Amino acid sequence: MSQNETRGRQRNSALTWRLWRGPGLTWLALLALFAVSLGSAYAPLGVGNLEINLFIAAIMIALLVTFLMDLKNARTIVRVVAAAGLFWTILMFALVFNDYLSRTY
Amino acid sequence: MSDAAGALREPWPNLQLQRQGVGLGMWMFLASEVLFFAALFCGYAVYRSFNAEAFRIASAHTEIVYGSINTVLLLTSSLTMTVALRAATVQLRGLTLFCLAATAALGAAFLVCKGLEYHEDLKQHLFPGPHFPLSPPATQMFWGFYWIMTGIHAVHLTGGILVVLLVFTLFKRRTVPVQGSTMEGVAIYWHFVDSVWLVLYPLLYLAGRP
Amino acid sequence: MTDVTLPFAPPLDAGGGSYLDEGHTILSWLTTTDHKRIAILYALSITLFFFIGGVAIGLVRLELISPTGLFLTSDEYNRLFTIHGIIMVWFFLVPSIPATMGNFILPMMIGAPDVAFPRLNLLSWYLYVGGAAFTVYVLLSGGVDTGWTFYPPFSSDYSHSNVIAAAAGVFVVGFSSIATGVNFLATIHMLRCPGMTWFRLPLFAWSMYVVSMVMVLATPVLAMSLLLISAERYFGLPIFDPRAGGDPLLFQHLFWFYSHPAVYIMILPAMGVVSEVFACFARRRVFGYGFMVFSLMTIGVVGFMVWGHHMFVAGQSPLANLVFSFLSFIVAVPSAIKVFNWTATLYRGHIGFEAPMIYALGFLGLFTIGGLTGLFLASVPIDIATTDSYFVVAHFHTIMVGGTVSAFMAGIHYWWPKVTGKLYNEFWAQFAAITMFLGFNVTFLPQFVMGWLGMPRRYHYYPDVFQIWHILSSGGAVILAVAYLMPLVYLTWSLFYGEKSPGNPWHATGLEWQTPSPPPKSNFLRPPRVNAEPYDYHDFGRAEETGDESRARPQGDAS
Repeated sequence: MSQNETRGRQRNSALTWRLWRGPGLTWLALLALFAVSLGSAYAPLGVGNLEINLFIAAIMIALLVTFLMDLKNARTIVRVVAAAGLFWTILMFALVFNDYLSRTY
Repeated sequence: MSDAAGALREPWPNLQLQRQGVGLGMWMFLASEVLFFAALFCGYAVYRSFNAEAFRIASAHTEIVYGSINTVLLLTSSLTMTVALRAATVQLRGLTLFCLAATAALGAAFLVCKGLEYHEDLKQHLFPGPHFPLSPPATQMFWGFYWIMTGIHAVHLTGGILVVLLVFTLFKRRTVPVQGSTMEGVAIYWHFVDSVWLVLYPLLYLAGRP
Repeated sequence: MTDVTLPFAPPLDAGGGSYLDEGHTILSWLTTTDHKRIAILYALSITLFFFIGGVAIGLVRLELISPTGLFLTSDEYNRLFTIHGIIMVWFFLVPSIPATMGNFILPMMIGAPDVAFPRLNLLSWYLYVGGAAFTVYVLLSGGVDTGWTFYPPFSSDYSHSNVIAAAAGVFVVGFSSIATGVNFLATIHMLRCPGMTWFRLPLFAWSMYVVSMVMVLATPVLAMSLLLISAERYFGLPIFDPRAGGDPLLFQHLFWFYSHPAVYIMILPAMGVVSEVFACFARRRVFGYGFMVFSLMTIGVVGFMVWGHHMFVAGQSPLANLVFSFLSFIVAVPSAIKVFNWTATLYRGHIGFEAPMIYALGFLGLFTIGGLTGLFLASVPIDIATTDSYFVVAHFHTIMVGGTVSAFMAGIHYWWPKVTGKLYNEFWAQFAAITMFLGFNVTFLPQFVMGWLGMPRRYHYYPDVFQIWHILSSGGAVILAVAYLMPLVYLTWSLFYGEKSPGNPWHATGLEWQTPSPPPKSNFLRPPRVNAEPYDYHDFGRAEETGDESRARPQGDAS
């Protein structure tokens, strides 16, 4: 193997490691959060269970979107689009629940 | 460089702008998909807030083992998909192909697991109808939503797997160069399908556990 | 001296023909990715469906001449008004201006060679055709009788008609909308030519932007609501069934979450067209451009917050009624701002009464009336009295037919020379426009009256006291039908025998006019560049007392 080839392979494997490292860390964090969510589901916390699980799910999605979908480095307009999806969802929930929670029948 | 020229499509003036455009377009499609699922989750949320006990009883009968395995499979597939995109951007064709194949395999494993789970559920007659074993009646509502939510998610996942396989083939045969704009769109969509599952899982599987 | 023209670069398409010369086979049309050809494919399809929907309501209006019916059973009557609604809303109005004029004109207007995703554009037309195929199947196999609103439990548990096929057709065509919306948004964000900054975009481009945003965000919720009733119907899942804790009102929430923004999908493009036409035929800048943009965006956003006004008597809580009523009043404000600004645009203008202007003036008056009657309906007490009466029917037809269809016709005539390279016959066009306006009023003013007097909508039989109003309305419908058929005749005639059009027959500003008519495949002979504000018909400041000639002249490569 020539020196150039060796260097080439070393560069490639260094690059490959770098490619896996960031997403790999995020993946580990996601697995950890998943374990917490699953574990806490077996504790008798009443409505707290749902709140914790949804909160953890929100964090997991935030991690996924920021680091795996690279929203961290994305252009502003992409982040605006992502925010719009979230905002409109909140709008839907808010106005629908405004009806349901204020019914007395 | 002829590779890159093959990737450029009308009406884009250069490849970088095309990649940005595809990414932006796919995020916009995602916004619409978010609202698609949001409507479904809104219905679930409304009914759960008024039938909390029934939903708890119904949820205790979901297959937590299958569901949890599926969660791990999808999270891992998001990892491999991210690496596939990064590899494509730096033109590491071999790694891109490997990761795409791994992603598709993990997705397929999810579907197999889901199939086995559905089989279990149906064996217990957990489908709203005359043989439904649980009471009160609102447990049927939970299970109606279970089938629709997991079903539509599975349809989206299947579509994703088919697209990944298609893209794999196009890359393998060098019909499309890996550093084009295709990977952008595919990766964004795949992560979305995973995100939907991350919401679905606690709603369906983690309610009636204690 | 304005300079919306082009730098002296070598022409890209030296000596080439127009986009119409690129292939003459049907296959070249069916496999095109040229936004201009796709626009024409859409125009042909929606025209076909417009007339099918028109025939359906023609039969209904004929039937309603007699209080006890003439030739339809009640079941047939239900199926006819349902298919009229489904076709007109989803297969005509929603795609109308965006898919035809948006597709053809928008890229040219911003100086782009095509839309961002040309193949997706073709796919969106095929999705339209796919959805249309379902609808044709529904038509041929007996129709659907749920009303275009598909309310459960009737649609999911009791109807004996093709609900799922109809829902599937609408579901598929919804994705056509979403694809078009994504395409336009990406196009406007990323393919504007040098110098075309956001606040130099013509208002038609802005209206395409906002309508695309609304289509992308609202349509999926409709898709889910239809999927849920189909699942309820086909699999027996108790989604809206009270016996399992369900609520039929949840469907209405989800359905109207889309269907109210849908009416803004139908009106925003019309507003965009009308802004272009008023500026051109009054030789005036649009008054208050900034406020016009702000109003478009406000309508697009606040339009998502008012859907409950369709449910005031359905069983919502009083608090929800209050909130939705208040927000419905708010959403009228930006529309009113636009009406004032259009009027101010006309003030001291050098007004020409070509057909596009007549249609646009009709729009102005009818949209105002439609909008004002909408305010009546936003008030909960009045709505309780007028819900499900002909007052509501007249209100929404005034906006959709008097408003959107008028603007659609205005745009068709305005851009006809650009698209076809031919001039239509102005006399017949003006005659048709005036006939349409008169026919519209004879059809729908009686409907306001009888709605107020208590005539319910969707009723096959009615008390004798309403007969005179129904006869008037049906008579008006005949006039309207004639007015809609006339353009088919003279526009088709112009394709074969019409005078050849110059590049810029109206001496309009705007990039789409600075190129030959019909345009070459790549839209421009030279890469366009913009250095001026839109609607550069005169200097800023007070208009001249005397009617002076506008300085807008044919420029660039418009010959």
